[in-house]
Amino acid sequence: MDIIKLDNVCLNYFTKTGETEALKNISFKVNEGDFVSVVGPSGCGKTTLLSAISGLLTPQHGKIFYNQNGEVSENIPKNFFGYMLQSDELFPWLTVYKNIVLPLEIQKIKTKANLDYIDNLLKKYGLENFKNKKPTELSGGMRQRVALIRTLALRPKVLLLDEPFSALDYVTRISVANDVANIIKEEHKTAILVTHDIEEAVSLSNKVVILTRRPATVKELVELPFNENETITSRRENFKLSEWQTKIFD
Amino acid sequence: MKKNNKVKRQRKKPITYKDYLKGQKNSKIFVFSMQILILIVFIGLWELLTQTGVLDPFIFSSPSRICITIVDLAKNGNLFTHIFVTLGETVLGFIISTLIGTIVAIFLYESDYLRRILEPYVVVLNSLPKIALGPMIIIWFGAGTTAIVVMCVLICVVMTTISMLNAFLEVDKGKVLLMQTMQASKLQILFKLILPATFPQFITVLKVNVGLSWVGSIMGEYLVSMAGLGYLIIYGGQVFKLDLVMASTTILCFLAAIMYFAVALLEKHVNNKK
Repeated sequence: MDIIKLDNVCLNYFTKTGETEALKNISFKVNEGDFVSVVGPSGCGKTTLLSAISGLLTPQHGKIFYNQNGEVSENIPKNFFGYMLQSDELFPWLTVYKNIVLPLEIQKIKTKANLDYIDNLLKKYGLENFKNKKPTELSGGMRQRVALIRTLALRPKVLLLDEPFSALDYVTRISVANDVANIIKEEHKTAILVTHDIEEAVSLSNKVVILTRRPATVKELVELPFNENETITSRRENFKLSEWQTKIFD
Repeated sequence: MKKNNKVKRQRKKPITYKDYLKGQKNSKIFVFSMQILILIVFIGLWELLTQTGVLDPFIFSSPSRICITIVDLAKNGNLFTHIFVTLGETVLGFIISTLIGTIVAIFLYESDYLRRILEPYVVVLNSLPKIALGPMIIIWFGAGTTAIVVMCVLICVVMTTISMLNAFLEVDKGKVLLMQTMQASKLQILFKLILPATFPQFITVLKVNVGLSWVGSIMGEYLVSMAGLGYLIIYGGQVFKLDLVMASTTILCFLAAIMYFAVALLEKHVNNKK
């Protein structure tokens, strides 16, 4: 069942110097449980695409459909998306726990069930002992995990990940990316990841959307279903990256 | 080849944690002692030069004459009246200007149009010497406490607005975007992100306002008052009672310092609470 469907989406930017085409005739579907990576050259419009999907930007042409329990609509259902940005954006004046509870406070749904869900996530992903610490006391990887739990707090159907690992060093990035992808799989979430890291894209996802240079169009949509015994780590070792690099950047 | 083997840098002796703590304590004591010493030397030298006749005590006053003047003022009961008058005007001006300045900054932050429309007016108001408005303020608000508080507010409010607006605009755009992705309302973004994130800048504004509000109230008293420390200073100058001028200035120094430390205490309290 497709959960998001983009149909000929076009989006232009307006500046004093003129009109810039950012997205042109983008069409693809995201099925429930998919981990879709969007890759393409730097500045091609990957983040713009994510903003259009999340409703932060409105396309001039084309439509985006959202499927909430079989009900298809152009309006975004409440708490349909959880957004993870390039930086963890944790508030330094709040503790880890208060950072995670923030979305619940904003939506005024700080119920016992939701707080229990957060406690479970903290316990499950080894952050229980750090809940009263300030974000500055955590490592980069831990901060990203906190940011992910904060995103999961509203129990969104789809996670939008905008290069969430780009600020981390290479070694941490691999471990955190694997970590986050595993959490997303365990929590049975659908995810759309924007990244410029091809290795990350092909190892984490079952679908890769390759975009062209600006204005971004879909160059190719590649299906990469996970085999039964395949893990993210084994994928990282098996994929021939150079072939992918040629495919994406040629 | 040059033989420079003899020139070796002497390595410092390793220190223990106990030595480190002792060093920290000693440096704190040293700084404090030097601060006190400067004050003692300044006061002592001033007293000595006036006692020996190098400086004319009639023109320059002296620490002992300042003390006598303060005691006299306290004895005839006028001292505290003057202190409370000025302190009241200053604190009132300080609170009103901080509140109005911050609220205006919030409105300017929230509305891009309002910010762009009012920008030239804010710039002109900021560069205008507020003392120039003195005569108008007296005519509009009367020659009394209200005019002095208004003068005080005028001096602080524009600076507060500009500083707080800049602080609001500098809040990490990523964090604002994050709040938007959580579907936070404008009010929630303000109270949960913008205000807490700009608290350090707010404290800086308060500290600057402490000084500016004293400038405002004293300037106001120069123009219209019949009581207060500013009045004492202007009166002392007119009748050539330099002891009175110096005594009032000394009291002002103490009061300004107390107000500054009160703000610093507030900062510490809020930071501890965080």
